[in-house]
Amino acid sequence: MKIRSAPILGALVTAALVLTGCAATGTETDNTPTDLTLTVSTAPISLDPAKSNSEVIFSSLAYDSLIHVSSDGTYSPSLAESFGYVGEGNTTFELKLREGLTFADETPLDSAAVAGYLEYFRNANGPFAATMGLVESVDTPDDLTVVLNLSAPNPDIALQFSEGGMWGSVVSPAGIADPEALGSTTAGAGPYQLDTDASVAGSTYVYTPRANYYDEDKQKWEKVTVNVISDPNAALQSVISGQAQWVEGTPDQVAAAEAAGLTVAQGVPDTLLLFLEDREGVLAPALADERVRQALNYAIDRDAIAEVLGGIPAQQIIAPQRVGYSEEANSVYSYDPEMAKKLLADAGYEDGFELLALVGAFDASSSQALQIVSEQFKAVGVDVTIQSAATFGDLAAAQEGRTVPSLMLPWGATTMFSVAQQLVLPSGVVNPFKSEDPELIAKFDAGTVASGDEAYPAWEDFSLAVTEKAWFVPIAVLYAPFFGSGIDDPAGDGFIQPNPLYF
Amino acid sequence: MLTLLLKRLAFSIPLIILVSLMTFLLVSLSPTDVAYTLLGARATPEQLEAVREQLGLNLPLWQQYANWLVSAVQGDLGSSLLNGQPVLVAVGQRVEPTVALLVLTMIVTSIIGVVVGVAGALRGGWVARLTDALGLIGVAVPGFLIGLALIVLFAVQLKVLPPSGYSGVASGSGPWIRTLILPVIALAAGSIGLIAKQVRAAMTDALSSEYVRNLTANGFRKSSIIYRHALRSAAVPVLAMMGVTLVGMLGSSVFIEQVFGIPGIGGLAVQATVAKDLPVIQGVTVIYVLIVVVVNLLLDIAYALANPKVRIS
Repeated sequence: MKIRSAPILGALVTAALVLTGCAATGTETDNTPTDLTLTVSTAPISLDPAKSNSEVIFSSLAYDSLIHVSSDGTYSPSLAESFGYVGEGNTTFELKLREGLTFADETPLDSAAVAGYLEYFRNANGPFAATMGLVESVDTPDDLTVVLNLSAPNPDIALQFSEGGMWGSVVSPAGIADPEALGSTTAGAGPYQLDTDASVAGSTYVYTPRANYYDEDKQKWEKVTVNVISDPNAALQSVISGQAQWVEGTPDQVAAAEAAGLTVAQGVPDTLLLFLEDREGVLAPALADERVRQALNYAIDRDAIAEVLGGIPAQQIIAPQRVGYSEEANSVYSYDPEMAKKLLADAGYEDGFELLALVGAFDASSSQALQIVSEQFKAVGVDVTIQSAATFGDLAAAQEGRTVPSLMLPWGATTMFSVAQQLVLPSGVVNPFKSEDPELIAKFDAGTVASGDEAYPAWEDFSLAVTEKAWFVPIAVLYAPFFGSGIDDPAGDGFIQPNPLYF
Repeated sequence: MLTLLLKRLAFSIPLIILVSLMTFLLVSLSPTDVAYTLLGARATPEQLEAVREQLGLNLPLWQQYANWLVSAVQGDLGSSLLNGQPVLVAVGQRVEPTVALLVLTMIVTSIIGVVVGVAGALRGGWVARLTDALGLIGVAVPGFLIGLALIVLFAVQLKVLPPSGYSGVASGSGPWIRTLILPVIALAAGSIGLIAKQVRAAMTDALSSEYVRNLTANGFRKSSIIYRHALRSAAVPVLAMMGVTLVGMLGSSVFIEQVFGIPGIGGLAVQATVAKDLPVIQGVTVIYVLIVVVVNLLLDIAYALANPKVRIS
């Protein structure tokens, strides 16, 4: 019995024709150079700036920011024409808006709109609502001037009004009136607005230019599409194939990206830290002794670990190029297991001790680093038990419940002021045992009132003190790479994340 | 026949309630706290508590489910806890890509599976062995790996198809089919072998049965015996297999949608599950159950058409 081969052959020919036809069509419908397509790994939780986790790509396109912060941490005007502290002590901040600014809905962006948005931000209970805690009042002496009066010194107000915070992503009064819709729509004064008909929340976001934006240089694309592709390999292929022009990569993809001719840019730094949280000795009494914490810092070979992770060795909680980075702090500890054993013996732990350490199972670099660190700790007698958290929520719950004495986690520090608030002050969200050190608090207070060039030595002094007191075991500074094709700067002159308006 | 269909439809209502309840309970067991997802690492305990209160997460479980069920019966599936988008809108935006992917994959799987299976049954020998081998490979290699290989070959090397994304039907049949070719192949790869093997076994049985010998002895043409009689008889177990295959495809499509960046229900299900966004999870579950119910109804109809015994019973 024979099979007739004609139908099969016909099917193959049809498939070939479809593919050939598709190839021709593909050439015709390729994105023109005026379109920009970005690939990101996760969707923003909400498009509402007041509830956003600082997703700069999304907020910049639709909202822009009042102040622009560059990758080197310097500030420049954006929607605000000028800004700065008034008087001494970093307690009054004034900014002046450009004339004639409007939101996408054509209503004016004036001082009243900014004040209204700040009030909304304070009450929206978003991730950064607590940053408004120091703002005692907001004055609007005229249509273009906004003055913030603070209850205590804060040197980071410009950062809050930049892409590094969310105070500067002003939502229009109409948007504030319908907060439910803000999660999946936009109502900003940025150069683009979300095309809700063409977008699918969580998957594809299409932005189109809006009329009457003040700066044509930041509105150079006819369409910006942001696609969410969670698989890192598929995401990289989207740029290599030419479908997208930008993707956030992983360190192990750099070689493949370079081989494919993509532009590779170094991303913003995260400092990988082993948080020695239980400095009060509640769960791990040994950690209450400063000598034990210093011993752990001497016990690890940072150079080797950093090389494995593709980063640079770290001994302090702030990354290079940030205010407060201290050259002196970076040479406090050498890799010296003998010194580690001596310090442990001096503290009465010559036989070592057991230490429970938590790490997010979803974070490959941290998990890998903790494995290596635990081996090196073992060599000086410290036996580490690794506990994995399945999700970030589980990890955060362990913090709230104070169930682990130590934690391995990368921390993206923007300024020393903010990292100190979060990690070092007793009220810090990653200081679950409320450790308190008067010397550190005094140095923190000195940093908060310092302005201009005085800020550098003040915060460097603080960083050195934290390192010497060994509140943490800093491991390495890691940089997430960005890959681009056909764009000038894949890092987008970003301070905490790339800003597509500067690609 | 009509009674059978009505019974099946009536059965789907308690099924949806039961599955939604089980989903609710299973998701509730997860220690993930949506308040952490919303507020991130920098949130204070007071902020977390305020969000839990605002979203009704502090209510007893039974009350949370009862509230959802009462609203759902009235056609309101609630809103996402994350971005406030109504669940019906979120799911509605994503139904087309998923349904298109599943329907096209089922069509491709059926056609190729039946052709290869029949060829294996008629030719035997190396054709049959090749069928089995290809089937095994298709089942053994995960669909998302096949997907990644297809992206590298057809999108990166040959540049004939897009690596990811989805163009809706409204954008035209050309762009629409282009974005679905690779995902459909990746999703179908695991099922074609299974269907082909089932068809080959059923056809081999049918061709060796007594009535086929009688038909042959009575001088019926071979093509008539194969395609009008044996294949129809073999279709009964194959249709049952297709129902099972489709349920498997629903699960696999989640990974395929992730790899190809298709804005389908699978991606929504993953995002919602990771964040413990219960209203969205419940909405997705209802849609999945509806898809399974509708497909099984269609298969029941096809089953009845192929097998007179079903119609009589």
